[in-house]
Amino acid sequence: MIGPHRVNADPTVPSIRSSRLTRRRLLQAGAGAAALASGAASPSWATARGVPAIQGEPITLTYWHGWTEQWEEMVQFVVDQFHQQQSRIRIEPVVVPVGSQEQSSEFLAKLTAAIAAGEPPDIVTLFGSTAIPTLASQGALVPLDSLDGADLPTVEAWMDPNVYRLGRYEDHLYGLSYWAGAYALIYNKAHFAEVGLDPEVGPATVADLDAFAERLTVRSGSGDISRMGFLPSDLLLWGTVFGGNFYDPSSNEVTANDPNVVRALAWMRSYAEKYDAQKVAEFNEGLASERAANLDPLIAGKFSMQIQGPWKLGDIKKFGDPNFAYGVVRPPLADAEAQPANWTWGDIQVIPTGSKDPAAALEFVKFTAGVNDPDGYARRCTWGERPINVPVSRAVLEVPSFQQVVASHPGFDVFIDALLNGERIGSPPVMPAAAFFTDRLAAATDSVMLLQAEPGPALDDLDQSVQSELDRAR
Amino acid sequence: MATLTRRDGSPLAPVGGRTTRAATGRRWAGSAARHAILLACSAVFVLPFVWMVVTSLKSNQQVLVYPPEWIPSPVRWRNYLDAFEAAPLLRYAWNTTVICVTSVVGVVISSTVVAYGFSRLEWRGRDALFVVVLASLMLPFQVTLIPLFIIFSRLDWTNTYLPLTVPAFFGNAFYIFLLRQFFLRIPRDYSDAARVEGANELQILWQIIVPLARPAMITVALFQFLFAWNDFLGPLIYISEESRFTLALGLATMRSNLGLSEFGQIMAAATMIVAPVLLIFAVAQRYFIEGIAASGVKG
Amino acid sequence: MAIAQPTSTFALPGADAADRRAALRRRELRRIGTGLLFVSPWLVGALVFQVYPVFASLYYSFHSTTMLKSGTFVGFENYRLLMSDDLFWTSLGNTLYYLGASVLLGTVAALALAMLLNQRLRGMAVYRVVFYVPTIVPLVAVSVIWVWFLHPQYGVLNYVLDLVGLPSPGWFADPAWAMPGLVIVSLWGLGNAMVIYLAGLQDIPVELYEAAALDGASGWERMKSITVPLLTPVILFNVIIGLIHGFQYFVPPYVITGGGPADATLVYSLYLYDTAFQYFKMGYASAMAWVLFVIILIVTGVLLRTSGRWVFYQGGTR
Repeated sequence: MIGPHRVNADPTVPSIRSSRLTRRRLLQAGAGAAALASGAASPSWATARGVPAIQGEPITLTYWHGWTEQWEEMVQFVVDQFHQQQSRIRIEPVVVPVGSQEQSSEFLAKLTAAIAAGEPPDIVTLFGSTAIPTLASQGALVPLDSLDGADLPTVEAWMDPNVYRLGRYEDHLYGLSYWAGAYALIYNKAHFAEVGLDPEVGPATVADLDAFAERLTVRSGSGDISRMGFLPSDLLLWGTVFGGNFYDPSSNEVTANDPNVVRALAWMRSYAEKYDAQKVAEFNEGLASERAANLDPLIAGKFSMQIQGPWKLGDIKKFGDPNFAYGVVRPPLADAEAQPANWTWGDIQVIPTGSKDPAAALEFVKFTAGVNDPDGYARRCTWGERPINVPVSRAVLEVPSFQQVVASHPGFDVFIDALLNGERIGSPPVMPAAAFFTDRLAAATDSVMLLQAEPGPALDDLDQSVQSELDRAR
Repeated sequence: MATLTRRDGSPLAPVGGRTTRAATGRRWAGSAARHAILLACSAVFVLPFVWMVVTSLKSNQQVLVYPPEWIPSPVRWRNYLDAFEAAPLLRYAWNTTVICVTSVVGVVISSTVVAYGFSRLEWRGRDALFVVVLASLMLPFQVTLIPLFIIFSRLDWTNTYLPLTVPAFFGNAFYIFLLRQFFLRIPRDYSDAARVEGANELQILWQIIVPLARPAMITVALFQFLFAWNDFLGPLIYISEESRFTLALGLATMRSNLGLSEFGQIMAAATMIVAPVLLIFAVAQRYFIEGIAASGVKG
Repeated sequence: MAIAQPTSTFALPGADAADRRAALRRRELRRIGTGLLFVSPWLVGALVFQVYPVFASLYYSFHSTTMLKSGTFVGFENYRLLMSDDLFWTSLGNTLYYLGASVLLGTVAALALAMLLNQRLRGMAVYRVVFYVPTIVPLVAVSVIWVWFLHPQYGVLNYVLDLVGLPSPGWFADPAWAMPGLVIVSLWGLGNAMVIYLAGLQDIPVELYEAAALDGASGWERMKSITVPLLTPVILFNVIIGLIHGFQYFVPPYVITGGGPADATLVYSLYLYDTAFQYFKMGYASAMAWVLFVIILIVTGVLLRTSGRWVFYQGGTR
């Protein structure tokens, strides 16, 4: 509504500068175009990188991201590296907090408002690819393939296909991921030994997981849970592990009530039944937050097994007791024959429509994804020394400094293997109603885990409401 | 003697006819019971504040102790420093103050002028228009929320304080109402005398009414200050950059970023937001109570 | 009750009637002009920030407007979809639940406290402050305080319930108890209404009680026959304010529960906010706003209409 003159409905022809051509912008645009033209003449992005062909007017780009506190420093680390590498483009990071718990992010609301107002940031990091279809379908993002110098074949060759896919919507590429998440199960070896389980053997299947969890769970006299063996919480991951899909892009159909997803949710619910939903909720409410250093539920021994991302390994090393012994295994399979599967979100850099110099923004976007710069990228995606997420490219695995990080954090390789070995990787459904989907999925999972609803009907409802939302959005 | 009638004219039920012996002892007992109930209720009302302050001085470990402990040990003042580290609270406080002061100035000036027009001037249509002012108080925010958002974004005012302050310069129906009530109580002769001496209406407003209406204007200023200090939805919708956040927005963000074990820090931040409000109230409580009471009874 | 102002035009001797009428009309126009000039800030503000938005949201409610696109005219489609939107009904139900409980309990509790305070009681001013203060605390702070106070495991209330042997609910973690939790939070803010009741009580003429005492009425009878009837206009006022606020209830559920668990506290404003600012459906959200507006108008209208049956107005004493 607000300013349709700025936002072109057809994403293939972004009318980025059409609305406000000031003299200054014209100059910038000219310089940018010239730089791109010569860049395109070079054999590859790699040779042009860091040496702008024409020293254009220096340009400052505003970069919105939602990382706060220590992660804000990490962003600065990356930005500093970019500044060291070239001097034409200055990046000015702006923290826009992501916001609340149950609802989808405030961040997106702010971003959309800024785009609608015609004053968007020049580069944005989206946490997860969920929002890309919503934004792209309304012409709010610049398709990277429309920019000269995008050189997609090189980018595609550099990135893992599952990660590359995160930035795509319909026939365009809208963003590149910084890195990508993957999940694995981290377990407490001391707890295993304590209940007579072999500390070197983690659960391989969901059946193992259930049996282990039962032995590991500790209840007090009053029936309160003082230690939970395991508790499933993320339907996106488990639905995928059970072989389900949430959406079929070929027919634009929401498939949240896929029998395999229903099976996954029924399995999750079995935990609420077995351990008493009320007691489980109370246990959950009483947990310290993950950022509480040594009070972290896993580190403090409140959970014996947890599904976690690679960043947890860094935390364990930093905050855990030096004797804290843990094992890492891939997410247990639905059954022994099942195909391994995992889930990834990605943290994706996009360029909003109205960005003052999309070509310059693209340079930063490619820089963060490390295209054809394994050494530099290896340093950036580990913040120098610790596991945060899985790199977007197998090429990084050969870099000695990265190998060192892997070696000093046992288990990191499990995450890397899980994502980069071409297995089935779930990711946010590529549909314009994804924020609604995420919220409704959380509510449906809630009501099933609180024993307020049966998995089948809850997912039927979810499927229906998201489908009608989607039909309206299209 | 007062007569009691229903609005529809039927007489009120007669009061019962037994005689009572007024016993002083019973009255004393009654007052003791009354105090007991009131003290119990007061405790319930004060307890959350106490719990807030106590928690704000607890370590992460002590926060998660059951049964709850009422004495922090060790007393951890560091939570306040940590709160500053977890969020730029001083920055938020400054931002909030800027918004508060600007909107207070705007609202007091504009509402005073408008209230003058609705009370001390006689003109045809005045009272009809004033009914519209009162009616506008009934308008739920949801109805104007979206169009206002669209207007302000078209003006490129998002991520600035303009949407939070500019409307204050156009008066506020509730404050206009409060001030009008007050202005009407100032004897007419005062202004008439000034008119005879050739003063124009602005002069009368400034030289005669404003000095007399100072208490009402202070009430309005205080209400607006609190409103702006407490406002959440406005900043939530319009402010994106963390460095421009207000305290309320910052506290909400802190609550969603930090977890259970950091409630010490969250409560430290909450204490810092609540303290100035309580301080203002302590200094100026009569203005509050009178303002609220006036809004209800004379309405 | 317009009082003529002593100005020179009025007393001109010898001017004929037509001239005088013209002069009067000019003076009248000038007065209206001055009046309008003084109220013009509000007038302009109301036009820009209220009147235009009201009609604009009506306009949007008939369009498929999103935050990024102006969309097309869709007739009553948004309203039709709203009627079949489960979340709309859920959120409306939650709001009515909250409203019913908080207005009813709030009125009774505020009235009771006001009556307890309305005596020549030592320390009355202190009590009044204690009950009033929570109402000026920022709602975000209130929410955060109560999240902690009602924490299922470490909260004070559950500790007390435990001590006296009552079961301790999961409050905001339990779909059945989350809304009662929010109602409790709202009761902490009853000081505003209480102060208004107190002022109303102090306006009741003492002679009435004296007369009743002479007739031998007991305390309970005096309350039933004098206090409550004479307070009904104030009660009506507070109930209407409570309703209007209740329909706009937003901050505590936003901060405390985010609408959960399992949509148990998804109130109308929260769903509207999500619709507009999370799902970007401005047109649909505008339709929601208008439905709410109409509901509020109907509810207050009915309340005012029927108030004649239970609201008493004092005659003669003022």
